[in-house]
Amino acid sequence: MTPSLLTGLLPEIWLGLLFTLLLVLDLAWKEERSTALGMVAAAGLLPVFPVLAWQAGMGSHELLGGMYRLDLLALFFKGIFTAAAILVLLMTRELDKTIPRGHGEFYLLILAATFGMFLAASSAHFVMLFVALELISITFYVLTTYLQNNVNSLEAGMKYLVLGSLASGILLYGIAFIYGATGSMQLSRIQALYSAGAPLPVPLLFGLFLVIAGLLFKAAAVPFHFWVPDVYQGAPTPVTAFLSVGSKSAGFLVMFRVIQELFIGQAAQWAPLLAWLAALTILYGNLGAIPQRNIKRLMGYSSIGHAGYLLIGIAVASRLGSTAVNFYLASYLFTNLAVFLVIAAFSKVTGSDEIKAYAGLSKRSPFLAAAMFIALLSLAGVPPMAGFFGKFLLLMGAVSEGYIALALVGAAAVVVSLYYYLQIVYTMYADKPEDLSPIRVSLPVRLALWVCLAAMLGLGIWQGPLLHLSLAAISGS
Amino acid sequence: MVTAAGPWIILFAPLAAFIGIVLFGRKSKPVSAGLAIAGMVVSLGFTLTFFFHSLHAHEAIETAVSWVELPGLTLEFGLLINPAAILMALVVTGVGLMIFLYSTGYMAEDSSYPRYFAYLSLFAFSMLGIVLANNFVTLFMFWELVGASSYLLIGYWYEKPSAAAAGKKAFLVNRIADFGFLIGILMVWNLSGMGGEARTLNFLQLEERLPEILHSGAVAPGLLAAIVLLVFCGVLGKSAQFPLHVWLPDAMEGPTPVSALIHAATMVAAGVYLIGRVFFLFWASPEALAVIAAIGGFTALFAASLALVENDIKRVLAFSTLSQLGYMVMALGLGGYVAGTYHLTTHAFFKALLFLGAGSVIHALHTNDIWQMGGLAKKMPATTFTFLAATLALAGIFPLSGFWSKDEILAVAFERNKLLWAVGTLSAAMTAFYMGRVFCVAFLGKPRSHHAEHAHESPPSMTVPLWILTVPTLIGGFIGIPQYLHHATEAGLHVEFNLFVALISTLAAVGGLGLAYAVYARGARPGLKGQELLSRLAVPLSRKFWVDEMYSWINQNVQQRFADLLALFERFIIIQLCVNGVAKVTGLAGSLLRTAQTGKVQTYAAMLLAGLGFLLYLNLK
Repeated sequence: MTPSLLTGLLPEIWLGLLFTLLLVLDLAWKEERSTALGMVAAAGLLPVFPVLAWQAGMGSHELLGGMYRLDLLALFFKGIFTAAAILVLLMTRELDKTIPRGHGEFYLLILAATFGMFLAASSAHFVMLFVALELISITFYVLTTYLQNNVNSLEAGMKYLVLGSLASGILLYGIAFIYGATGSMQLSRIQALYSAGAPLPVPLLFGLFLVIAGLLFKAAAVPFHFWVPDVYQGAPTPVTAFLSVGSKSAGFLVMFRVIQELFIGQAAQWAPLLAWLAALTILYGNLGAIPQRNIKRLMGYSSIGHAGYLLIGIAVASRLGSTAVNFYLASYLFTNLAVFLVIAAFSKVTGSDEIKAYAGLSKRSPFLAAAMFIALLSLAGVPPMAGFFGKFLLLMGAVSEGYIALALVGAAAVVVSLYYYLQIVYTMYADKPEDLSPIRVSLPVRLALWVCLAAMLGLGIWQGPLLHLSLAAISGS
Repeated sequence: MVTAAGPWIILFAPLAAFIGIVLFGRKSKPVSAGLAIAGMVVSLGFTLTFFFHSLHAHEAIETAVSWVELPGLTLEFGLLINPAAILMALVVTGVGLMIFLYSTGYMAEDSSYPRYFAYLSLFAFSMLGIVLANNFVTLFMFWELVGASSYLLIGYWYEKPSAAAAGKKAFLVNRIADFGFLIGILMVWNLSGMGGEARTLNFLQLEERLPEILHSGAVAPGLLAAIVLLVFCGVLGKSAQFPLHVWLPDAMEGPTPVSALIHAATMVAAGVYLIGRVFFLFWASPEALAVIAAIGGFTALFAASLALVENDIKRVLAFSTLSQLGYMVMALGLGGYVAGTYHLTTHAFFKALLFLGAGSVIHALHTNDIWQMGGLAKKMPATTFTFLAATLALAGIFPLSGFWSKDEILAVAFERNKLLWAVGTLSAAMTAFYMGRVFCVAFLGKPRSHHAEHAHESPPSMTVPLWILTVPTLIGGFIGIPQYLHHATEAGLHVEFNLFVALISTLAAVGGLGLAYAVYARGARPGLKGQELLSRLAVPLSRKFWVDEMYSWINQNVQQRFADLLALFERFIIIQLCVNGVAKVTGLAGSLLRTAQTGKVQTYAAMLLAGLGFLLYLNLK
């Protein structure tokens, strides 16, 4: 079935309506009821899933005069973004007390960022792409500084803004070069210009590398990662969580679009660079995480490390690699959000993000400790958790394309990552708590954690369905 | 109502019960027991529908979902239902249900009752997984789950050090065996691809391919025998065959109904069942079968001799189980697929009955020592009668179930290997003797302790399952089990009833019982005059031929020395050089990286641009 403008853009239209509804409710309701807004937003996102499933039957199409496209890859990532947004909205409730004012806008901004991610997933034109990425970035600048009486939050937001603008400038500069070299901004037209194996002219290559640099910034890869630890530490926890899964996934999605789809035939010209960067990013993230004492900062380094693993999947430029990236991002979504849910629930009660403060968590809240334990094992890639299978696929992809050394670096870094992840586990289970008072976990967070745990174990044990989806998203686009 | 969902329901009903107990029944005795029993009833009900269906339709039913799909590696999670599987599932769910019911009485006073029923349900789920699995991977997963859940059940009274140790011992011995089993499975995986097709571990596909692969001559007979023996390693552990039998007697530390479930009817039967499940594989290697038959025969005789002098009623039954399992393994090793599986079924009934009867006595007297019992026949008539029926069945007295199945094994042995036949007949005589001894000492004569004088019959929740299990014990020989089993596989041989063998084995059984009666019914007991010679002879028996001692000697002198050497290696090379070295280097690298993170946004921007410039230079120079 050929989608009309309405049916093709239905998810975006629905998001727009939801956004408007929230805006009205925020005005109509009193400030005290603002947490209910988060629930409305989360519930309002649920119908997106059946819409996406319905659209999956439509095939690949270009709409809006070639600006927008509908294909399985876009739908797959929209699913990831929606799931991430719902979980982040549930997590945001834990922030009630810390956000000084404007709860309603906070939820609105999360929806706006989600909207930007949707557009990025479906953009078929460089201008659309840039606008979508800017929508994501600018909402995140605001979200990062949301704790207005917290110096760290402000500092993080400022740094993110300065460096993010720089990256956007580089990206835009690259787009300009690509336009100059090809005479088009439409992805499908650029794709048609270069047959497989034909070397790219230098101006185009220059532009491509600038675009890659801009995207690596989003994905948090070396050497464009400097913002990550500071911003992750300073931003409100749900924002950090959303950055680590939503914004990162968007970066990889766009890399699929502009590197793999357009220039897969010229992989020899860009793949070695990405392979080197993958190795460096893996090492940087995992080694940098070791001395950290703040759990959010540690998760920042961990996020850099995971970006490195994901880059392997882009660098190998094969179907297996791309499938692995999709699988990895989906499982990473649940795993990482589980960790941040625990962090949010914990700091709501204790007000601390220091790893030291987690001492004896197993006694104060066995549920939180167990959830954290499982999530950390999944992050490190221990079977039978989902994280193991994602890493396994990525490393298999590297080996089958001959990147043996890269696979070895990836495998060695798993050991390093186990070291710092298990240090947290050790603190939670073996150290004596200073304060024995139990930690109460609110129902939405409990619910969200159960979903994450089920997904981590479920996707690890029963990989088939997600693997099929990941593969279909690559092949069907 | 035979549907595609049926096999899954059989398998998952106990798991659902387990989850239900964990979620909702942790505080409540009736809820936990009710859920566990309901799970078993559902499983049993669906197994029965498959049973009635299979009476007129013999083809196997297979249902599977693909589990891991990667290029070059496809694994499925599936179930295969054939007559042998149905029969075994009936034993597991039927005997299991009786044991669950019995446990409500036996464990009534236990403080962590819901935990007990949760473990039982988990065990039943794992066991049904072994019974129904359609490929080696699924089977192995459940195989390990059985190991884990039996560890939990044997060590159920974990506050008792001996119980905790017994659980650990069972688990470790099984792990050793399973290591061989796993290697065997991997070799089967390799073997399956030798015909040029995609590799598989599916039983039906393997059965189909094996003749072709063997015919092509790609596999040396020695290799095949090695594969079969490695797979048999798993059997050695689970079915507690010599030399890995050591865990079973100790496992009697668990609650008695657990012993009835795990160590009579199900877990230990899993090994024998496995041989039957992949009998086509075993049948293809006569060399391996000869070894297996010899191990089985030896275990039968060896374990029966240990039972002769044991004073703990449960341990007598444990040794008896070892011996009977040896019988079954011997039968299968001789090619008697039907005989072995038949005996597996009848044995499950009467041995579970014996354990439950022993449990009833222990419940009343709070002791396991048969010399503290005596004269129970009048005080516990129901227990006594059912125990007697099971004793006679185990001894092989016509026309009880044990007579028929044991006779079928001896007939096969008579045909194939006269030596093993003699071993089997001798074990039969010994079996009759030690069972007669237990019965005479525990149930006849005068009460020998204060408790025995004041014993009372157990509550109906315990005696009713006893009566129900007595029925198949009595008539198990007449309900056509062997005929039913013939539809399961074409491999193996079948022999006709042999009157000579039957007469000899009956003589052995009657002789054993008579001797036991003559010695023990008149009040003979250890330490009496004129028995020094006998007791001296009994020393090696009561020390179990020093097998445990030998193992611990090997442990201390060989393994420990080697371990010391490895410990030195570990301390200096691994820990100092590799671990600490690596940790220091990574820690150092981490601190170095930390200095890069200055916190100044100007530095970050400068480094970002420098990085970009470097990248562009590298790629565009």
